[in-house]
Parts: sequence; C-alpha cells; structure tokens
Amino acid sequence: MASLNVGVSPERETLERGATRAAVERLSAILGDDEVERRARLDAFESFQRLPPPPWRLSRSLKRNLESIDLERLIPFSTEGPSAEDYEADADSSPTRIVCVDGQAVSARLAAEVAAKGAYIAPLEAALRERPDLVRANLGRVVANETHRFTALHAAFRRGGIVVYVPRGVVLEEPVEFRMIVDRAAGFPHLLIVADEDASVRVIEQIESRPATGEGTRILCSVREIVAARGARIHHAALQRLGDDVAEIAILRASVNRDATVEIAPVVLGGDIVKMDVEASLDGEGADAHVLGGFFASEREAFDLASRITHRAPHTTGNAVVLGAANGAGQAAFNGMISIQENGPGSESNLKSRTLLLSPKAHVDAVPGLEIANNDVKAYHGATIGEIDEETLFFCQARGIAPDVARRMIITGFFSPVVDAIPSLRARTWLQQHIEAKV
Amino acid sequence: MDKGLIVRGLRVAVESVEILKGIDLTVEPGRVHALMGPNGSGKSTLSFALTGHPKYAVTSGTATLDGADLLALAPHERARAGLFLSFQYPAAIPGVSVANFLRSARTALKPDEALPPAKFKRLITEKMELLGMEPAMLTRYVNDGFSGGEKKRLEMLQMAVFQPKYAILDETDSGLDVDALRAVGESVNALRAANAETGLLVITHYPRILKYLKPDRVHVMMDGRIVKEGGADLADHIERDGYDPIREEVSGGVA
Repeated sequence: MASLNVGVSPERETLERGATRAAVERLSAILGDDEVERRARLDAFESFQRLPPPPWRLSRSLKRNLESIDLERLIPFSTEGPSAEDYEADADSSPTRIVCVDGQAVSARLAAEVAAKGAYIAPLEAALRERPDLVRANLGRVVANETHRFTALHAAFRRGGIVVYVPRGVVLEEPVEFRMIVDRAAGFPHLLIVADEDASVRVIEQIESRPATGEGTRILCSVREIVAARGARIHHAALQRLGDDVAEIAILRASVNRDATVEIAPVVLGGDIVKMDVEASLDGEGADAHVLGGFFASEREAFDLASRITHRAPHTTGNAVVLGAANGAGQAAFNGMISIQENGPGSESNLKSRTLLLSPKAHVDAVPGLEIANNDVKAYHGATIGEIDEETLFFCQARGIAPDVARRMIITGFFSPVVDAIPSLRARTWLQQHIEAKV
Repeated sequence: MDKGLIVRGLRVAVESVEILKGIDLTVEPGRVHALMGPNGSGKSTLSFALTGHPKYAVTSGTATLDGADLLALAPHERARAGLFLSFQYPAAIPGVSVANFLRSARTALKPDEALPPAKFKRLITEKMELLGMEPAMLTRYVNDGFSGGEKKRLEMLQMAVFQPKYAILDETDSGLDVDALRAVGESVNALRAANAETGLLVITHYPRILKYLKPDRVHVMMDGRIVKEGGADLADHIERDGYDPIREEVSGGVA
C-alpha cells in the first residue's frame, strides 16, 4: 500500500469567483506550477475566451444550455484543504482506490500488484511530479486543449484526476477505482489511461457532488484520454450521480490501436445540465470498441449525450448500446454516430439505443447517425423509445407486487445490461441504488 | 363466509364492447373446474376481469374469494388475497432474473412468511425438479427469450412456489407439444397433491390437457355466457363431437 502526503493550507481564504486570468494565475501559484505549466494554462485560458462551446442539441431546452452557465460566478477552485469528512470518504476496502475532493487527492491506496508488476497509478499532481515525462508525453495526445471552449477552460484550471499506466504485457487484476467528489468548487479533473502493448486494466470512476453550501456556479469539466496500444485491453466505467446544482461538460476519447479492445461505460444519472461526448477512435487494424452506456434524466435535468465510434483502419469492429430513461420533466438528447472512413474496409459497427419515457412531460431525442465512406463494411443502427409495457406491469401486479415496486423493478431491470457489466460489486450496488432512487 | 371463488352475474366490457354477459361460476377449494369454449367465447376475458387487468371493465355483478370482495381490490391485492393467474402469454421482464422475481413476488404475497434465503432456494429447487426445469433458468431474465414451453413451466413454478388459494390456468396447454403438455399436467397434479385445498379453474378450448388433469366439473362458455355444465364426461363429448352440438342445443333452446 502506498500512502500519500497531502498538504492542507492552514488559512481559510475566500473563494475565487469567475473564470478569469487572475484566477488561473492564482491556481497556478497554489499548485506550484513551473513556468512551462503556467504558460500552458494561460494559453489555454486565451483559447477559452476565443473558442465556441460544443453544439447543444437539446432543442426543447433553449433556455438552459451551455451558454446559460454563469461562468462569471464560477468558483474555479477551492482554496481550502480537504476536511476530516473528506478523508472519511474512503471508507471501504477496494484494493486500488484514489479519492479526490475538489480536485485534491485525499487518499491513494494501491494494491500490491501495481508496484510489483511495474504499473503506475497516481493522482494527477503526484504523477506530474513523479513521472513528468510519462504524463507530458500523453496529456493532450487524444483530446486537444483547443477542441472547444470547455476543453480549453479545463486546461486552464485542470486540477485533480488520475494517471494510470500499465506497461507492456502487464495485466492488472484489481479494478482501479477513482472516486471524485465535487464539494465547494468546480472540478476540472483529468483522467489519463495508457495501456501499453498487450496490457490490460479496468478503471471505474464514481463521481458525486455534495449540496452547494455557498453562492456560485459549480461545474464539472472533465477530460478523459484513453490510449490502448497494440493488443491492449481497457475497460473504463464513468459512473456519475451529480446533484441538480452542478452542470457537467465532459469529453472522453479513446484511441484504440491494432488488435486492441476498449470498452467504455459512461453512465449519467444527474446534473443540472450535462453535456457528455464519448468517442472511440479505431486507429489500428483489428481494433475493437464497445460503448455500453446509460442515462436517466429526472426532475428538470437536461442531458445532451453523444457517442461516436470512428473506424480509421481496416477490419475494425464497433458496438454501441445506450440505454436511457427520462422521468418528471427530464430531457435528454442522445446522438449516436458510426463513422467508417475510407481507410476502414472490412469493418463492422452496430449502434443501438433504447429509451424509456416515464412521464408525459419527459422528453428524449435519440438520433442515430451513419457516415460511411467505404462500401466494404457492415453497419447497423436502431433506436427505440417507449413507455413501460402495461402488460409487464400487470404481470408483476398479478404476482402480488405493488405498482410502484413493479415499476422500480422493471426500470432497474431495463438498466441491468449496463449495471451488470461493471466489474465491481460495490460500484454496481451504488449504481443500482441511484437508479432506484430516480424512479 | 362462503368458501370458494364465487362469480355472480358478472358482466365485463372491453373498450365499451360487452364481452361477458352475466357469468355465474363457483370454483370450490380443492376442486378442478374446467372452463371450456371455442375461441373468442370470453374465457380469457373472465380471467383478466377476475385478476383486475385495467382494460377489462366490470359493469355489473360480483366476484368473491373466500368471502373477500375481489372487485374492490387492486390487482396486486387480489393476488395477495390468494388468486393466481397462469397467463396464456406471460410478459417478459428483461433484466430481472427469475430468482429475483420469485423472491420479490413471494415476499409481496406472503410478507408474514419470510423464508431465509437458503430455505427459499431449497423450496424453488425442489419445485423446479418436479417440473423438470434446469436450475440455470433461475439466472435467466423472466420470460425473456423463453420458448412457449419454458414460459408455461415458469408459470407453473410460480404457482407451486406461491401456493395460491385459487389458480386460473389460462390456456396453459396451448402451444405445448405432447411431452411438454404431459409434464405440465403431471406437475399440476403433483402440486395439487402438495396443496390439497387449492381450487383450480382450467381454461382451455381443447380438452387434451384434461387427460392429465381430471376435472371435477366442466363449464362451457359461448358468447360470454356459461351455456352448459356437467361432469368430466362433458369434456369427453366435446373432444369427440366438438362444440357444434352444444351450439345447436343452445340456439335451439333460445329459439
């Protein structure tokens, strides 16, 4: 087990407000950046001011979208160190686990196999100190800072997150669990997973927020970069349950090289407005990508989610399945895209979305798309939107199960392909409880 | 208190069209009643009306289960009162395993008779053996991708595990090959031996299941009415001659 030395600032200062250059400077000073890092943050901040946000596709929610996030009231970081409560957030026994509150690591526990097999897993800031070459070689390799306004904002205020590096041929048995809590301030975590040739790792993220205690805008603006080298296998689950007082803008990209397999399980269960883009790029022959995602919008939540599998090499395979539900006045747009480029002959890709509408005010747009630039491919897509089947509900009732219990059972059953694929009982239970709570 | 599943003057409409036009029927505890009739005569409507399907509107009449007013109860309360329906086309519940479903339903049906997991598992395993079911079915999702025969066996398993006071078997024989039919018939008999008080209403338009499940009483339904009643021999007559003689007898009587 490795322990981590966490600095706690003694003075309690007032929180910064606003996405400003001065705030970037201040964060850079707090983190003790060198001049190169400081410069990179300021450059990113300039890009932020110049770049447009990503498209917001949820037409029915024109009043609440990415433009309506009040960045002048943004609390870009917390100046306080973690509290005693934060340290208690790590009260379970997962062998490999990093916990981060407001971008500050409060614990990092590693299974013995990590060091024994020569893998490297650490909170982002520790990794920048301990393995600067590794981190710098990969940071921004898959997601450019200048992708859009929020990736630039992320690069300006980046703090917290994890780095997972698995060297050639190494198979990590224990899943890497990363728990992140949004508390007083916005979060700009960065997740970097690099699996070298024939390496294998599973990473489970669990993201939550605490209720707001003060005034100001809290967003979670994360970037995830995944690189699977030849023959590598990566399973990555990003499970989030943010409160409806936090907005999220997230981007995840995976580069899947020759004969490698990447499985991605993004699950979005909460947030005021959520914009999440997931893309797997099949960059080497025989590369294979799976997206098995879920979302559940309730109350007034509005989610704009996209999954894209891009085939850039011959004989690549893609499979995306996204299961969604909307309750109350919840709204969601899901754009699934299969893109097979000219250099992807012999590729095969499937895309399927299924959505449950649970209330008359709920609204979901599920738009599957195909871009095919090669004739020698197979691609299928399908989208269904429906309500809970009345006959199924009656069947449960005829077995003595009360209607509300039956609905919960049917809805959790609907999501079970997503839940059951998560390689941690604790994470599955957590997910199940949050799904049930939303019914 | 009147023991039995007692139906009096029951009229039922579906989307404002009257299907049942005054049904009188008593299912006695421990007895097998066969409800026969050609397709479209209203047999399944009776089973859905008694179990409380929202599409079936009772316009007049009464139905009681050992004295309890069934029609005043919600569907899940009727089940808790001891009424079971073996569906002709049971619904699938994707993502919910048979084991979980059986446990949830039994807990709902018999909240005062909670069984520890090990005991409950033993109960299920025992009944599954009786029905010739593979234990692997427990981890499959309820009726999801099941063959017709598997669905019917799962319905029978539920009846065996829930031990209702009265069970309606709605066309449990339909779509089964001879072997599956024999297995279902024999298992129902075995279950009856285990729960001697259960009253059965076996709905069928074709009498072959009655070879395995000897009825104490046969009721014939046509056009929303019970038109003829008799003993087991009535089913034999229908097997031999079909429904036409009864139809002629009934229309002759009306004319």
